[in-house]
Amino acid sequence: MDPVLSLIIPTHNRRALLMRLLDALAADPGRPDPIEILILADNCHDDTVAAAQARVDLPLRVIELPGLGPAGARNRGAAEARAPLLVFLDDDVIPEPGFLAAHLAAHQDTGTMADGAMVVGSYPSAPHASPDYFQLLLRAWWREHFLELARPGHRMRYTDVLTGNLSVPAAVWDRLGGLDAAFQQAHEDYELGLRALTAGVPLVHARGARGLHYEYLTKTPAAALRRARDEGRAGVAFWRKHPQMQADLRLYAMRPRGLALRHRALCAAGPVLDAGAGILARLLPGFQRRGLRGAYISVFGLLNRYWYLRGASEVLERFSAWSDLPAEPQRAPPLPLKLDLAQGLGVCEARIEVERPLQLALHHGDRQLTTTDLDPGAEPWRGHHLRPFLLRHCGAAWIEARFAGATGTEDVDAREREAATEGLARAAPHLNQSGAPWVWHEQYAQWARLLARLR
Amino acid sequence: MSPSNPCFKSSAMHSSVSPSAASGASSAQTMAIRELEFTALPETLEARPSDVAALVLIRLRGRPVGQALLPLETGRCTGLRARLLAAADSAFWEAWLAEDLGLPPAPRPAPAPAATIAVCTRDRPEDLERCIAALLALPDDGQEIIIVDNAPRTEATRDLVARFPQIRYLREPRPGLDVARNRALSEARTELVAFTDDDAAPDPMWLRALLRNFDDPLVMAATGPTLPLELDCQAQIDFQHYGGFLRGYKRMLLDAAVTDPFLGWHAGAGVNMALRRTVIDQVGLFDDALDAGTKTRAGGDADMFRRMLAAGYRIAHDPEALNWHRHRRSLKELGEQLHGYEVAGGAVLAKAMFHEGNWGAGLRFMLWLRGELTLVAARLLRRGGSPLAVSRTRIAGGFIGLRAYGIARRIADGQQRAETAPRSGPVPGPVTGKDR
Repeated sequence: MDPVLSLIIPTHNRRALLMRLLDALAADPGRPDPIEILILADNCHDDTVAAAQARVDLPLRVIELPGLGPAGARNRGAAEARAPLLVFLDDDVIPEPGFLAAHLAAHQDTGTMADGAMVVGSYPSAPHASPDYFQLLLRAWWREHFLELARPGHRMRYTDVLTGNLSVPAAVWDRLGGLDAAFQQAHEDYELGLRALTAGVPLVHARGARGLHYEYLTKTPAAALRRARDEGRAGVAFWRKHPQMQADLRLYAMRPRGLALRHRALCAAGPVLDAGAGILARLLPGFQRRGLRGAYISVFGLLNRYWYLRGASEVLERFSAWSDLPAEPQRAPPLPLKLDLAQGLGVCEARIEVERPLQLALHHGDRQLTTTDLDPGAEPWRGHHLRPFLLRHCGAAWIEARFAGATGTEDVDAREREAATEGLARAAPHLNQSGAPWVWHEQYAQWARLLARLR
Repeated sequence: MSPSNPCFKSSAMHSSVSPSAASGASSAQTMAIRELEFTALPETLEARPSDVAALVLIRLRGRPVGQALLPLETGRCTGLRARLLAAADSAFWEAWLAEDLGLPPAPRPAPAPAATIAVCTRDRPEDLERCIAALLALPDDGQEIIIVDNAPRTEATRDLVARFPQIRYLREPRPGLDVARNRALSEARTELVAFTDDDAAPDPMWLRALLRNFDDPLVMAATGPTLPLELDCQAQIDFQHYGGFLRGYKRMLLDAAVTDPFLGWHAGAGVNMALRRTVIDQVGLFDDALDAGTKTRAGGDADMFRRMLAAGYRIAHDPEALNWHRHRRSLKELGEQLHGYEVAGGAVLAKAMFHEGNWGAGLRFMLWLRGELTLVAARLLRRGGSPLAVSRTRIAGGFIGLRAYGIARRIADGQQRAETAPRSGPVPGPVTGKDR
């Protein structure tokens, strides 16, 4: 019987973690059957290969590679796979029970196996308390990323496609041409996501397809800075390949402006500056030991930006190459879909679902609420995006419109309308803010108003 | 008992209105406190004739979602709905908006396993009786209530608790709020332990709301908003106006990636908190040189929150875990309480600086001092700032705290040694503190 899915795991010298991952798969009672597991042992010097081959409890194949890097290893895995569905998992992600079943179900449920969808799962950091500032920052980044992914009404973007926990029908993979080998070290997944989005492949988040990321065992500040350098290199490649996305790139935000002394210096004397960056990096453990949290975060951020730009400069070689990066292609912007929310949210949601527009112009009666930003990196609007969007980005305008009674169907009394306008004007700046010091600002303002009235 | 360490507070907060400016309401004036369901509002709010204003906790379909302060005329406020809309805070509007868009908040996860409620008390039987009544009114999820009677001068507390056989009574002879808290932690039989004070009276849903935050294994503590039980005198109104125990009506999750551990007290206060018992192993006990009953006067909770965050754990503030607290009634007590917070702020920084080698604490102290001096300068230049007497008390408190921690530490160490020394053994020698 042919396998229903091929699980592709590239690995590099992480025998212990890989064994835990395989243990978790072996213990999963809901594991689909039959499956095949491909271990891509990429330039492994520990006994990963022997340990994996000794696993007779799982249907796995070990393929030894000479050091293709993660993107090359995944492409090779996809080429070797025999199942119609490819599931990619990183070697430091321990899948939760039901992981593979959830991936499979996400493709079957949406009937997308034929049309082909790209399904991403979450892999937040494994719960681990550490006083290490670097680990705290890393954990917070992942937490925020996956919270946003799971938030109701989240519009999927190409940056949600991460190969750490991803499934794609083999047919779609082949149609897209797999990962681009030019992105050997970083952002190969974003790049694939963008091509999928452009090709109209739906991006889906499967809640049940969860794993826990044991990054705290594998990631160090030095590795993160090396990664920043790789991302800088990948940023240039991304800009060159997809100039229409440049405004979304970190590289774009860091492009030379004005005298651009940093950029010139990096191109002229990169290796000299590296020594300075190295000295700065050696301060980090001291900041940690002395509880200088702010200094640590600032210096780490500085180094991160340095290495990103350094990576980009390495690829560009000369300062003049910055201006050779392709300009943003001029395209006529699409016409936004004009919606009158006063007709009812349900009606509007249905229209969005049919038209799948790239941009919305929201009105309420004759009142204009907002026109959404055009995001070329996001999926077209879906009906269920509308209400959460209003809640998060358009709350004050929506409330005002509701109290203005622009529908004519609701009898909002004039005194209430005035009161709501007054109250909302004060509350609006604090909508969706939480935590200190907003709490106190708002509360003090309340008391100040009361005391002024009493005086 | 210690809500906040103003030593750590940014100068932005006390530059707005100083406590003494609250004297707009004269001492004979009082304020009403109401909980109102927004979907079933009366037309008029009726209060006592002496109430010049009302603090309204707004509920929406039963959930506490925000607050409003309403001026009253001869104890009345008509056209209540409109008045509330004009005065409500952003938390209320967020809840209203979610409701209007048909996006109700996610359903609550199932309640966590049974917990222990611990109340540390010292010679306040009248307050404690009200607290016990409130605790016995909580839905029975199998929780155990412990009363820690801390170095009592009378038997009144023991006699009171004896009337309630379902409550466990513990006597802790060594004085100190943190000593009593540690006793409760070590005697508790459950993984989760909720703390409240003897002068508080929790809302019926308090415990459940606190406990549901522990579904995240990294959440080591949960807190909630604490509102006044009464605003019957100037001191109570001033305290509430000054900030009270309130941390707003929006859920917060504090994590050291975002929040400086020294601002851990932003999460809340010991009057309204629950902890995992594993805190003892992961972070350590409450510091017995801090808080009420010691020279440092407060700060045991703030120090615990700081250490939790610094160790990489999270603290959740859940706006539905409501508690009600009787604030101090005399201005003298209030003054001492506020001064105590300054002392505690300095003490916690001194602990971090001199006992943990944390230079960040020194930096924070300098920042605080700069903020305070800016306020003094602003006052001298007649450009706002707090009254000089207030500034003087605050600055003095901070410096007293720096010294107080060392003294309190030596005393606590001496007490610990006396406790562990065998009765027949040699008398402990003079404590030098050099062994720290």
